[in-house]
Amino acid sequence: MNSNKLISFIKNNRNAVVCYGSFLAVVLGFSVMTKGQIFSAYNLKSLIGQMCVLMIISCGMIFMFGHGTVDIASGAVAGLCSLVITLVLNKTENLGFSIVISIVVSVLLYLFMWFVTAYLGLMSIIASLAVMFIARGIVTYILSLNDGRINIMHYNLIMPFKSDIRLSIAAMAVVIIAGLILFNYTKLGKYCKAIGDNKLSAIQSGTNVKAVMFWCYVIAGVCVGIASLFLLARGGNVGKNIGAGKEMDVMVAVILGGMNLNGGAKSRMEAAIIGTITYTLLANGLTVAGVAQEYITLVKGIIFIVIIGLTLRQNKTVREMPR
Amino acid sequence: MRRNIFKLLVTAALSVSLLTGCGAAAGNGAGANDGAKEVTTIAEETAADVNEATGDTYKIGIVMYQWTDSQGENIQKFCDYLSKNMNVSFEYESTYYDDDAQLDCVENLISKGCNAIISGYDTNIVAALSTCEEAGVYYAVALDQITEEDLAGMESKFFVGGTRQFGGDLNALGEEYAEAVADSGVTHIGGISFPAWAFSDAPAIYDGFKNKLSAAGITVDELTFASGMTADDIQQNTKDLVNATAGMDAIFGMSSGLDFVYPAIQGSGIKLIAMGYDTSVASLMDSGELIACGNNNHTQAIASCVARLINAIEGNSYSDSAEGKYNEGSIVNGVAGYPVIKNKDDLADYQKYIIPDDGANGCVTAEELKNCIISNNADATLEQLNTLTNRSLSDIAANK
Repeated sequence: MNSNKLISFIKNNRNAVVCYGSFLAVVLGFSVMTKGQIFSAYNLKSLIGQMCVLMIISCGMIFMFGHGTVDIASGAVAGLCSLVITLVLNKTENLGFSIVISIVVSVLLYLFMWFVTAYLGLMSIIASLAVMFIARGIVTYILSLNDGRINIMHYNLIMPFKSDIRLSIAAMAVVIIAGLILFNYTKLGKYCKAIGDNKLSAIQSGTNVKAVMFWCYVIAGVCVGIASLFLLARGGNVGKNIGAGKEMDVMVAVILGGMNLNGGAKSRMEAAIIGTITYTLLANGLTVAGVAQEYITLVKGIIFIVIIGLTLRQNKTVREMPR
Repeated sequence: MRRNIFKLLVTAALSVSLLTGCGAAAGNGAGANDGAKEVTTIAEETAADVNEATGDTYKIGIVMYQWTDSQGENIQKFCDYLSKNMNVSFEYESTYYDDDAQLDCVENLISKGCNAIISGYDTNIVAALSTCEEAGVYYAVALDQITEEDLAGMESKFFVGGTRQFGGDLNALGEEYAEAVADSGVTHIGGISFPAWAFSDAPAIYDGFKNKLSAAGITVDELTFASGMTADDIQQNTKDLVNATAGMDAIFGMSSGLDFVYPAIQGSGIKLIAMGYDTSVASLMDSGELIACGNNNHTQAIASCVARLINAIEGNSYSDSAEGKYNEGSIVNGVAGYPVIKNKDDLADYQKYIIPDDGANGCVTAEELKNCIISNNADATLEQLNTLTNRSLSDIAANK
C-alpha cells in the first residue's frame, strides 16, 4: 500500500482508525507505564469484572443511540432492577426467578419510555428523564424504610457473578455476538440506523418506525436487566447510589468507541465493545500506573477530549443525508 | 462488505485476546475455579515480592470518597508521616462518591500489590471483603463501625474489623457538646440532622445533648430530620425549622453544620453548634456565631486500622481482641475519638495536634503506634490500642 493509499484509507476510515488507534495506544501506553503489571492475571480478571456491567449496557444502548434516542435512565433502571433482584432473592432464594423478574421490570420501564415517545410524541430524553426519576425515587423510598441499605441475605447465590470469570465472559460474549448480528446483519439493525439518519426518509421507505423502536427498547431493557445482576454481585448490597452515573459511563464509553449519539448509518456495535474496553483500561491503568489521585480525573479528561476531538470532528468530505 | 468483515474480525480478535487474558499472562488456561486459586497465589506472590524488594515494607491501600477535601488531605499527611517512620507505604484510591466503584478501587489496589486495604466506609463491604479474601488481602474499615448484620453472615479471617466513631460513646459526646453550650447564654435550641436512615447515631448524640441542657433549664426542641441529603435539602429544612420555631436562638447542626446549616441561618442572629470542621471556624467563633464544633479524628481512625492490619499481615492478633470494648458480636471494632472545639484554645490544640503539618506533633505518633503492634511489643493489647486512638483533645495536649 503506497502512502497515498494509506492516507486515503485513514481519511475514509478516520473513526475506526482513531477508535482502534486510541485503544491500542491505551494498551501500549499502560503496558509501558505499569511495566506489564496491567496484564497480570489478577488485573486481567479484575478488568473483565469491571467492564462487564458497562459492556452489557453499552451493547444495548447502541440500539437506542443508533436510532437517535438518548437514554439517560439506564443507571437508575439498573439500580432499581438490582433492588428487585435483592428483594425477590431474599424472599424466594430463587436466583433464576429473580433474574427473570429483573429483566421484566427493566423491559417494562423501557417500554413505558417507548410508549411515551412513540405514541405521546414526547422527546425521548424527556421520557428517559421521567423513568430515571421514577426508578431512582422508588429505590430511595424503599431504602429509606430499611436504614438506607438492603443486604442480600444469600450473597453466596449471587457471588459467582462477581467471582467466576467464566460467567462474566459468557454473558459479555452472548450479548456482543447477539448485538453484532442484530445490529449489522438484520433488518432491525438497518432500519434502526435508517431512522437515526433520517426518520422521515425511513417512514417514506416503508419502515415501521414504531415497531423498530419497540424492539430497540426491548433489547436495551433486556441488556440493562441482565447487567443489573452483575452490578448487584459487584455491589454486594443495595445502597442509595446503586447504578448512579452508569448512564454517563455508557455515553463516555460509546463516544470513546467512535459512536455518534445522533445515530445513523455510521453507528457501529464495535463502538460499544472497543469503547468499553478503552474506558475501563483507562480508569484501571491510571491507578495501576501510580498516577496520583488528584491528577487522575484531569488526565482522564484530557485523554477523553483528545480522542473525542479526533473521532467526532466533522469530516467536510463526508456527505451526510439531509435531516 | 470485506471491510466490515475485517473490522468485525479485528474487534473479535482484540476482545477475545483481552477477555481470555492474552494467553501467557493468564497462566495455563485452567477453569475459573482453578483460576481463582491461581489468582490468589499471584496476588500473594506479588505482595511477597514487594515486601522482599522494600525490606518488609507493607503496602496498604486506602479507599476514600475523595482525597482533595480536608479529611483526605489530613489522612494523606498522616500516612506520609507513617511511611517515613514505619515499615509501611500507602496507595490511594477514590470512589468519587460512586458506591459502584468501590470494588473497582479494591481490585485496582490489589493489582498494585497491596497487602491490606483500608476502606473509609462500609460501602459494598460484602463484595469487597470476598474479593480481598480471594486475593489473600486483609481489609479494615476506618470511618464506620461494623456489625454482624453488615456482613450478612459472612465470616472472613481477612477482615480485621471496623472503627467505632464519636469516641465510642454517643451520649457522652452529646453531653460534651452541651457543656460547651450551657454557659453561652442561649435559652432555646433546635436541632437538625441528616435523615434518620442516613445518620442513625444522631438521636443518641442529641439525647445526651438535650438531657444535659434540659436539666440546666435550657429549652431544647425535638430533633428534626432533614428530608434529604443534599445541601439544598438541609438548608431548606433548616429555614423551615427556624421559621416555624419562635424564640429559637441557637441550632445544633448535626448535618454538616458548617457547610450545610450555617448558610441557612447566616445573618439571622441564631447561633450555631456544629458537627463538622472547616477553616471558617476561627472567624465564626470570633464573631460569636459559632458556639462549638467538632469532627471525627481521622488520624486516630487510620492509626487504629494500620496497627490491626500490620498485626494481621504478620500473623498476630491481640490476646484480648474477642473482648474488645467496641466489638459487635464477633466483629472486632477499634475506636476513634471526636474532639469537640469549645473555644479558641481548643481550636489551637485541634490545629496543633489533630491536623498538624508535622505528624511527629500529632495525636498518634509512629512510636506510640509501633508500641501497639505485637511484633514490636508482645504485650500489646486491643485495649491499649483503643486507649491510644480515643484520647480526647485535652488528654492529647496534656501528653505533649
